[in-house]
Amino acid sequence: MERIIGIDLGTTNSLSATVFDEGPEVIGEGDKAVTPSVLFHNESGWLVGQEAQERRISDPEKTVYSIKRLMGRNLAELGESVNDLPYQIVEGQRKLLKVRIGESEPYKEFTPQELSAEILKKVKQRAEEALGESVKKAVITVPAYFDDAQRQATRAAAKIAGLEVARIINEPTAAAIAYGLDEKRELQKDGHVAVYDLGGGTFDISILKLSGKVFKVIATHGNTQLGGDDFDQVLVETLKKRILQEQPTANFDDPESKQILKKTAEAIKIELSLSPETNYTLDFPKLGFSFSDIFKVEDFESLISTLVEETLESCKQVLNQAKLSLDQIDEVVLVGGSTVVPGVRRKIESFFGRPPHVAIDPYKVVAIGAGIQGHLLAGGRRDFLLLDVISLALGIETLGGTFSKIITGNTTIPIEESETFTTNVDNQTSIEVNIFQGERELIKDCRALGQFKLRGIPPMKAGFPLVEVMFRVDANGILTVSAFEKRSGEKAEIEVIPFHGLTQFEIERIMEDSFEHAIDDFNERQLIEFRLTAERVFQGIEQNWSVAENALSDTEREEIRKQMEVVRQSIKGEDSQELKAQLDTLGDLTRPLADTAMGRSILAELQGEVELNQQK
Amino acid sequence: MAFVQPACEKCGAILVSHLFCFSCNIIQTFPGEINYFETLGIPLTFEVNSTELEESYQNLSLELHPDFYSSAPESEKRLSESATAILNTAYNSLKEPTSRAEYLVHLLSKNIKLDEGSLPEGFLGEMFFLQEELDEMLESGNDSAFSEMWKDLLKRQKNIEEDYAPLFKEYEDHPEDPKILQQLQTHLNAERYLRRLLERITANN
Repeated sequence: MERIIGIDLGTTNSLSATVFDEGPEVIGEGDKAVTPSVLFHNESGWLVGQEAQERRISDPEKTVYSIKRLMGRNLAELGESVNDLPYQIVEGQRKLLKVRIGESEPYKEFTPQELSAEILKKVKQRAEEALGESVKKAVITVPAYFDDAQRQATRAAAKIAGLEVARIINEPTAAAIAYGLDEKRELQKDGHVAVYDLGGGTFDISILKLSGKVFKVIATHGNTQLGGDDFDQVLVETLKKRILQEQPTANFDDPESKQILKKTAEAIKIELSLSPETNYTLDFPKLGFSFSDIFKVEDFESLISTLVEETLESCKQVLNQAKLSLDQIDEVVLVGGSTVVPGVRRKIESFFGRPPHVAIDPYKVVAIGAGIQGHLLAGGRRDFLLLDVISLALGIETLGGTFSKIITGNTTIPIEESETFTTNVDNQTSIEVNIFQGERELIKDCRALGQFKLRGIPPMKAGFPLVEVMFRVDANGILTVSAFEKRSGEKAEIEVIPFHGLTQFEIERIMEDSFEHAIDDFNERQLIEFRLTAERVFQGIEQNWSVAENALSDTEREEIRKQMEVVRQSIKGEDSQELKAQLDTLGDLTRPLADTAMGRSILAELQGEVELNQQK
Repeated sequence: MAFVQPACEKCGAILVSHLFCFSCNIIQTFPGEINYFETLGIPLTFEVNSTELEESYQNLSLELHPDFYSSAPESEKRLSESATAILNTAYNSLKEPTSRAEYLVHLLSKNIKLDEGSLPEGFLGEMFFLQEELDEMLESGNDSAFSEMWKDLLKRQKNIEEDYAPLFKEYEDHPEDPKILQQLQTHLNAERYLRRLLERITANN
């Protein structure tokens, strides 16, 4: 059975999980389990995770974070929030966003997909090292409220990272799986569960119905531009105000100051989750002053109260959509780092009128759920089924700029719906249709996903051709469109021009450009390492052969020679695990050699190295 | 209202749902026209037993869903994907009374010509009035008026829904009388107007 891991690709942190013999758990231990979703650009490429995190203050322009907010979006949609980011964002052709690195030409520009791919590569590599095996497939989670463009962008990122996406699932749903299948039976077998998911950059509320083996999402609502980052931002604004009272001329617009403010805000937020007040000091070496003060938890809570109210408004909406009243909600589950803020937790509890479940670490629960879903997809179990929905309606533009829904929001996926189109003028052979996603009545308030052109319609009188267009949303929530002309039975050609995201061609070009790609594969990386080790072991053996003549018997020497030959054969092969096993055997055979005085220095070290490699 | 139960393509067993054979565990390639009641293996009637509908939907999902065909050959994967899509469409059409009534009228009026635009007497006038009222509210943003209208519309909607069951009952007793189906069609048209207004309120609130 080929393992399918679960990956929570978060705004602030990313992590992976899988089902071990002992049960589902995140992959890696302690700090090694979590990869901050931060990248730092240097001459040789990207540093990802903790190492990059440390560069946020010293090299703000080259340190990229919160990429998830950029996925599948354009500049206009991001609005003012981009001004808070210390790195440059530019818009390329087809309004594709790019992160620009460098102060002058030639700049280097990267799409959010490429950057997310770097994070995924790192998560993949760490998982491989911890598991000691190659990882090729993953279940990746996205906010339930991610639209088609954002999902497509996530899938493209995985592809660039050399991962096959076994499934894209919604984060709150993943959390519900983790709780629903928990050994301790946290949730009742049957009932309605509300999953409140407030992460670094996104908010989702989902209502699920659990009955027997089936987890069915009934409704979801959310905001893909609201999260803990916004808590930091209101804190930053307050800090600025406070400092300006003392230092009226201070200007914080440089990237370094922005980062100092942001980091302090994060630290205050974390401290205030543990204690009623906290002291803080901001050092601005470039501005030539520092500032100290106290932050009280009441002040913080009143600052974020509007944001929290906004999430509760979504909770009301989702209940309406699900046609449920508050007292029909049996359980509440909390997900996402921002739900550890006590003020947030209190408000949720008073809204739902019951204490929420918090037994599973809110930072880990999404990854764990994704890992369990991966286990199911790999064929490891079939004791549950997740029925997820497409959150936002899909439709087309009709006369007067109105949005005509073809697939309504909160429909269980996969789903197919068809719509028949016709021509306006005689002998018209093509029709253009604009596809939108959203819940509003006018297309200007919805998301433009793309345009498709129906070509090759047989020439007929106006209104005569009947082109049936099939809208298909797969189990990942991703849309594909196909068409045929009913009268002639001819397949109409269809070309979808995405308004966001990368074309297949662009994804492939990025993959070719990626110099690391050749050794992306864990097996290949290990092969390279073990081959080098083998060469050094051979050298060591040859150099110490004179010792072997005295220390070892003829049979022992013969065995070593034979084993060296076996290793040579394995080197030519492609199986890293086989090579490792043969090297281990050679290591055992040459141990007496290493134990002798002369051999110790070299061979003992080499044996150590073989073992080290095994642990990786 | 009865229908002929189809047989499995492979083993010939009588199918509960025409999507899947529970005796030899294979997905059917569903030839011909699809009747959603057959899809879910429930009796063809308006008064659907919701527990039976839920159970059937879940049991079929547990057999058909693409999650269980992740490592199957590409052709089986596709079959699972489209069978599940049909199952979902069928379930969505039958679970709510209005969409179920809509589907049944469509099914039963295959050989009858119904007036598809018919509305109850005086209904259109009332709707114009409500429409204008809503337009004004949208401009002024009066929240309490919104919720008043919301409640009013929901009540009207409920009244219509309550008429479906007796009308279908009447149809079962007099299947030769086209007037009953026409009456149902009129109800459905009125409901659609109300729904559109409700949707406008949600979309703008």
